[in-house]
Amino acid sequence: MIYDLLSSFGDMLSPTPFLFILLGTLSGIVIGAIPGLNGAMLVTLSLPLTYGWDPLNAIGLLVGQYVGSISGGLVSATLLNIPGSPSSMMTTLDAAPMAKKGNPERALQLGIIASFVGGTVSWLALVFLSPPLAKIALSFGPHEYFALVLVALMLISSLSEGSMAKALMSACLGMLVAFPGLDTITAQPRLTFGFPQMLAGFDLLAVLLGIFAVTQLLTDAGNSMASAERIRLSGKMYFVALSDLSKQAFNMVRSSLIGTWIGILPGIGGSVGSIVSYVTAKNMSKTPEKFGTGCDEGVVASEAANNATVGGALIPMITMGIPGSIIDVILIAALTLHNIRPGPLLFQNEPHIVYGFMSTMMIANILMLFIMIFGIRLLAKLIDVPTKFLVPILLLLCVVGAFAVNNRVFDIWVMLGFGLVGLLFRSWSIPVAPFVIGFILTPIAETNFRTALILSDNNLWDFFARPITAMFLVLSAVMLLIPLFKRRRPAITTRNEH
Amino acid sequence: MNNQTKELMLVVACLAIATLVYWSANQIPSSLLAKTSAGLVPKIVAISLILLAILHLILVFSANRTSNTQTSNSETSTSAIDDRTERNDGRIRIALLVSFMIIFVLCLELGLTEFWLLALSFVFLSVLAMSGISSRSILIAASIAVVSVGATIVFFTKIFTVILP
Repeated sequence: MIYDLLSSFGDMLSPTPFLFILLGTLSGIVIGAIPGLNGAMLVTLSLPLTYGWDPLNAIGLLVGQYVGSISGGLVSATLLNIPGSPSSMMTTLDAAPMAKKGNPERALQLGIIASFVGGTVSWLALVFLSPPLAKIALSFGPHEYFALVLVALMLISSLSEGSMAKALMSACLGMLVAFPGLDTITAQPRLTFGFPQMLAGFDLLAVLLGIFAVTQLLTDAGNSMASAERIRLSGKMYFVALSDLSKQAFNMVRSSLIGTWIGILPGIGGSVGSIVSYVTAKNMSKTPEKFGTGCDEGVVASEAANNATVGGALIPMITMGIPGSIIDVILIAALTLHNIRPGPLLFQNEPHIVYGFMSTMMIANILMLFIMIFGIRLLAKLIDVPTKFLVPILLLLCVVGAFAVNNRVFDIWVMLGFGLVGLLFRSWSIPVAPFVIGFILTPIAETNFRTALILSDNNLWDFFARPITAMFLVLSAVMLLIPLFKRRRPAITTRNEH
Repeated sequence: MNNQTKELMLVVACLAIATLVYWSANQIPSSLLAKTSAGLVPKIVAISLILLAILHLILVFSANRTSNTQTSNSETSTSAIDDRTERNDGRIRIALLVSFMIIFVLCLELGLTEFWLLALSFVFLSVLAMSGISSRSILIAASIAVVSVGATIVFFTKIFTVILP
């Protein structure tokens, strides 16, 4: 494994892949730093470009963008008090007050270093946890695989914000969107409603562009155009003292481990990771009253955790083909475009892709550290970029991107349609993550479910007769029931108090 | 539109989609190639969606009955009016952008004119819709449209060899 990893580092450090990683990291940081634009949108927009590339170059660009966009959110969170990306939401609580007190450089540097540590810890988890997990996943048959996908869907629905019923409805709608087209087993057309274009189903990229990019851009267009108060950096060079960093060492590692663990859970991205880590840091702090007033611990906890989710989220994606975050869904789409199927067989069939992911993540993490430490003054200027001029240009890129893969105008309509669906989701407060995960996982779930039924002669009891499948199914049922208990508990407490 | 109406619309939309999917999946004839029909899983998901929509409806109505007992005090302050105006402006901008996109794609579909001309008009009009009409904004919109469309065409066709509409 070590030899494969070192050899992959050698490959990815050769001029062309390295250039793509650098480009990806830089563009990710830039987009992450501009409020309103996020990594998911950037990665989706870049996806059509990578169609004809070598898969490793595509991985270099997209993973670089993933790492960069999560880190770039720190800039506007600190200088504008607006999170540049959803994952830097908790960073605003302490980085912005610290900047207002006259220490913006300190807030930014602490955040950058914490991001680097978070990325490194999760990279170690990615390197050492993926091979054994892939070995376990290799022993899974169709029964286990179907049950695993069910667990992933339940988990993302139960952990989504707001009503669980809405999250499950979102997952069901996502699954329904995946059905149109030719059936994978019998090759019969289904849910095409007489449209010949529907025989190929909804194009993955068009749906992703619509739901991520178009929805986000239209939302940005509708948001207030009033400019927020900006904090400027002073002209002096500033470096955080080593003693201050060593005081945060435990917090950094703890938050990184939390972020990595949250990242491994399907569909849960950096925002949840940073919330859990921030709350944990506050609860375990000797001075919890300082949180929210501009303390080092808050900035470090949030930034270490959100970057750590990147490596964590790649673990289930590489080993089982289950996306750990929304951007992983787009990475799965990228692999699919290159006829590579993520999952346990990836380690056997395409080890260079697996190690390509690992080495790219580390290279991008190091590049992020240098770009952000030394380019922070330039990056700080990005908060002045007016979104109102960017929105039409990015919408044009969406149109071109949706058309580019299949050369069909139909895909542009699909993209526009799903952009409007995304807007409706926002208006109804429906979480989009279960929809996307449902959409991407349904073909795997359905094929395995029906194969399992064929193998067991339509006997559903066979699912419960297998220990791993039964365990996954029970876990799904527990996750479905948890909100009911959560709902009941306050009522019982209130009755007892009375 | 109040919250309850909004949730009711969501439930109706889900029920309609699920019924349509169920009906369409039910039309698929059984195949000799597989013991399980191609319509089986879509039907299971459609039924799940119907059940979830009904459950959601029950939850919304039961929650609403509780909240109705509490008194609500609505204030109409100046900031609230400003917020409403800003929200309406935002909705108008979204509606304009969506309309421009629909016209853009429709023209592409019908092959009415060249891509570059349509793209140029789309970006120009969208920037104007976002920034308001003034002689300065017209100049800015025109420059942004020319530069961005030119760059997009060169970038996609020359560097990445993508075929444009």
